[in-house]
Amino acid sequence: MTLLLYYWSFDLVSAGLLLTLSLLYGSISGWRWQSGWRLYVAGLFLLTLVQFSPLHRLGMNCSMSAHMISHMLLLLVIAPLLVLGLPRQRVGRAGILMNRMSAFFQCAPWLGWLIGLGTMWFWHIPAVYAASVAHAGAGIVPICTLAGPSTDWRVNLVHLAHPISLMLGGICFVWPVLGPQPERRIFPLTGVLYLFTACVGCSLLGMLITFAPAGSFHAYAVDQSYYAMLSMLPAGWQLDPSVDQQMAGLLMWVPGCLVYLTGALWLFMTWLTSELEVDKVAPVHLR
Amino acid sequence: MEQKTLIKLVVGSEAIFFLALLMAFVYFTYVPVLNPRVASSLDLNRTSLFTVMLLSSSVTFWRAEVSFRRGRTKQLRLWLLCTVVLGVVFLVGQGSEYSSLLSRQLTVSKGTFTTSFFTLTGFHGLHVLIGIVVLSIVLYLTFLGDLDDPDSALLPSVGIYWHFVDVVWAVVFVIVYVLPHFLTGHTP
Amino acid sequence: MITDVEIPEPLAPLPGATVNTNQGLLQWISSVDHKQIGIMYLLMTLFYLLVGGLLALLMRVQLMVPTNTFLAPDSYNQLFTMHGTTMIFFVLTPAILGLAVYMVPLQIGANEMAFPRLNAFSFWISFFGGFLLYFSFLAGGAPDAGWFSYAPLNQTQYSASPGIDYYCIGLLLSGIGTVGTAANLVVTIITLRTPSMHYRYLPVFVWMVLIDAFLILAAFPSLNAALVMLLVDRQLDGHFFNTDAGGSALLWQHLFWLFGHPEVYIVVLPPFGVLSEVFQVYSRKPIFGYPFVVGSGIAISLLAFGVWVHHMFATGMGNTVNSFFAVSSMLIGIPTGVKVFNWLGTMYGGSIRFTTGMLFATAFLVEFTIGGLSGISFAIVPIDWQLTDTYYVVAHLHYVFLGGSLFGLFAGFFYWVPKISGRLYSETLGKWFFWLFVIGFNLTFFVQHILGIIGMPRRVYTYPNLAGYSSLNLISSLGAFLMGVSMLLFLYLLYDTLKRGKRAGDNPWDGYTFEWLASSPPQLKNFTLLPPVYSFRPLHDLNHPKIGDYQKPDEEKYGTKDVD
Repeated sequence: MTLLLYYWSFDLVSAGLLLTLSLLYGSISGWRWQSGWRLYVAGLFLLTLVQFSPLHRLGMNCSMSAHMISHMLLLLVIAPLLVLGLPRQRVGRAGILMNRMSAFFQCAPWLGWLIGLGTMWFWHIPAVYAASVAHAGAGIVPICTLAGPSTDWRVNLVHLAHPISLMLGGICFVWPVLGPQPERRIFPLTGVLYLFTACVGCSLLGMLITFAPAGSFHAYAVDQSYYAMLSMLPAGWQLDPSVDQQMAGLLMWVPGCLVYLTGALWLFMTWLTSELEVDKVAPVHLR
Repeated sequence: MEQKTLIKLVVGSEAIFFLALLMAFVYFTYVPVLNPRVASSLDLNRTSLFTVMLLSSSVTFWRAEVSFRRGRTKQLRLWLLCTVVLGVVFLVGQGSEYSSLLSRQLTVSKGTFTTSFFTLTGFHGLHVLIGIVVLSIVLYLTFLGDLDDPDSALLPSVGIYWHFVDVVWAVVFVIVYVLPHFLTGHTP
Repeated sequence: MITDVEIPEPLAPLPGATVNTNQGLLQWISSVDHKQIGIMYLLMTLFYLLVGGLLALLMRVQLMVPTNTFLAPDSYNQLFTMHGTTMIFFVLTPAILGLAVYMVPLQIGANEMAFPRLNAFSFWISFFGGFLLYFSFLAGGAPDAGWFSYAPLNQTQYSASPGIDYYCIGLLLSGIGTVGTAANLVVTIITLRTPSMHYRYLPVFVWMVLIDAFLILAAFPSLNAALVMLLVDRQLDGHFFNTDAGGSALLWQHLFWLFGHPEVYIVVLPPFGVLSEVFQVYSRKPIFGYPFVVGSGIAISLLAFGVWVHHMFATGMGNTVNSFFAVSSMLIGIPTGVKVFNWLGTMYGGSIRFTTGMLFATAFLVEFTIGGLSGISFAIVPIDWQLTDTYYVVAHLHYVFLGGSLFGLFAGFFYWVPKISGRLYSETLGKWFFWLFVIGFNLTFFVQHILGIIGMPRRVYTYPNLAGYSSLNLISSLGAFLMGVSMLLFLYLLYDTLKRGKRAGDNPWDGYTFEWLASSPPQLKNFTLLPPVYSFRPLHDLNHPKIGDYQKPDEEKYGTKDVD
């Protein structure tokens, strides 16, 4: 475990992404901390962990379940945190853009659903999945790289598109439910249905990965860096490829689904316990 | 409103039914490796033609709905008739495909591929048939002149069902015909 | 008096309501009135409850002594299959639908279901589905592969009699009916509420029915698909589940339990709703923590689809799969526990009236907790491996289905029978029935936990004379007969109520919801005028304006704040 903890990586594009997101917050909020900033910062922090921590290396080089954890964090945790943390009072051009986005998803919430689920499914087509992880010949990755694990720029491009598209897909997905303009969110009960159907789609994919024949997703090049990474793992972790694939599928199926369900429940409970406007409007007539 | 909600619920429920049949098909033909017989025994080109027919029936139905909202009964009848005819053509196509399969001894009991294939496409065909019957009734009603209230929810409700049947076919077509064809085409 | 509002339903005659009411049986058959259909559902339930109970008694006679020869092995197989199938598909499911169809329009202030004809169609197709299932006895042998008909036992080479074909068709028909009613209930609840009945003011029972209907819509198609595939296998010689020809036995199990686990919640959520009504009315308090009762219902229904794999721990899917589903199965215990505490909180500090309905509700808390705890023990994989297919499972599922669902339904029956029949039942008879039934139930099934732990397998027609087996089985059989006797008493109680019961007023329990505003029994047109709704106890507000909920802030109304 201790050895594994040294394996931090760093790449300039992820750093750029983090910087962009921070600047975006600043420009929308008019350079003030507004309520909910903690959520936004938490999202950024998690994003940093996903991109730079040993989890990233593990997912890139040997473990599909580590890859899946970062995938789910991006889609299901970081994206909602960022959206929830958006400032309440928005200024500037970016603020107007946000409002336009809310208006758009108010008209077509199903599009958000489709984008979110589509991104998720797309990255798990075996061929696409294989393209997004490290390849043979990548060698030992230097401490600081421009973009990704390879010397081939196309591979690096796919590698970069993966987290960014997942995060954007997640943001589009949660926008109709948690968007920054509460009056433009969808009706909470519809929201429950929205999240539940998404959970079905997510479970289905998890199920496919879990029960797919061992090896369908094993795209890691079994070379020096693969074994080097494996040898870093603590003694008790048997990272058998078939178990690894099953675990990845199950991570998506069970905990992944739980995130959706928790969201659905939270949505429902806050709606049910919030103040009812009708009460204030309609007076009670007593005789 | 009520009719539309009802039909949406029923369609949602039906979607899960088809999902189960589809998963069975995927399980039997794609696992552990794609069954090479799928692509060789199914005629992609001819089915594509009939698929286009069925999908265009969604378009004609959409035109029928537009003419209905505008109160143009004659156009409505015409578009509805087109929809029914396209649906019937699709069924005929499916029937001829079945008979060619059966003539090559590819019966339901031949193996897991044929079992799941006939069940999946057969149930879709059944839904098309039901749709055609319903559409014919609607068509008959337009000739009786019972369908001149533009607020009636009848046509939109039938439409939800008909579009659903088409969407199911689009998914089935991709998974049963197109994907195996390309996957076996690429692997030597 | 709160100002009245005209209720929104069209006053044009309802379809079918023009049939002359003097036409006796014909009027029932042709009826599309939700109340008559609800009653017919309940009568169907009662009929199949007696039939299914009789099958169980025959099995208990066979198991009373070791190496008994009262029943042949194959008839025993048919009996337990038919018992399970009947009780789940033709007793519990129609019972909840019957109560829902009767009570939901009344509770939301509507005059009819949204689709009265669909309602009648759904009932009759379920009804004939049951007949078709039972026709198999005459057609050459009932289904004999257990209520979940595991593959490949359900294939023709293992079960040559046409029983399983009848099982498929019967369940398909009743499944279609169930889906129809569920869709109908959803539309009714969404569109026909009296205008001021906001979702937040829905009675808990209506909430649970709404959630339940969605569960049905999502769970039954997977059963229907499985049944269709099985029918293809058996009739067209297909190979879905035929393991000899490349089919998959696990596919059946996945599809069946994808339905089967939610089905457990399908038959238990509406009883949860019933209990919430019963507890609050007989405790003279609003339900404690309304948002949590409803929210945990939603949590249960959402989680229900993520835990079915725990029925398949013994199929060898590997430790990874098993451990994930062990955890998720334990999670589903949490919302159920929340509900139990809500009900205890409702009783706490209330002025409780222990009528028969309340007794059943209180007994439910005990029995269902036992069933829940034995259920949690199955989530621990090694224990599951040890106890799978033993009598421990039988005990567990009966504590859940009887101690959970049926007790809830009995509570609802005694609570609503004055409304449905217009007459009060005899409280003495009711209490006799309650005690006989509860004692019989616990005698029968509690010892089966022990039988399972010491290793008696379920679904075997007899057992050797091992230590403990004979005496425990004898106790279990005696308990079953006690339950049989109590059911006879129940029939008498029903007769006594209808013949000699005192007239119940419109509102004998001082109830909280709109069904108690209609006359007892309600007329064809339920309501003409309804008061506006300001809380989830609208009738209580109307009858007790001084202490009504409508003037309280939300947190007190919902019991989310301490109200002393």
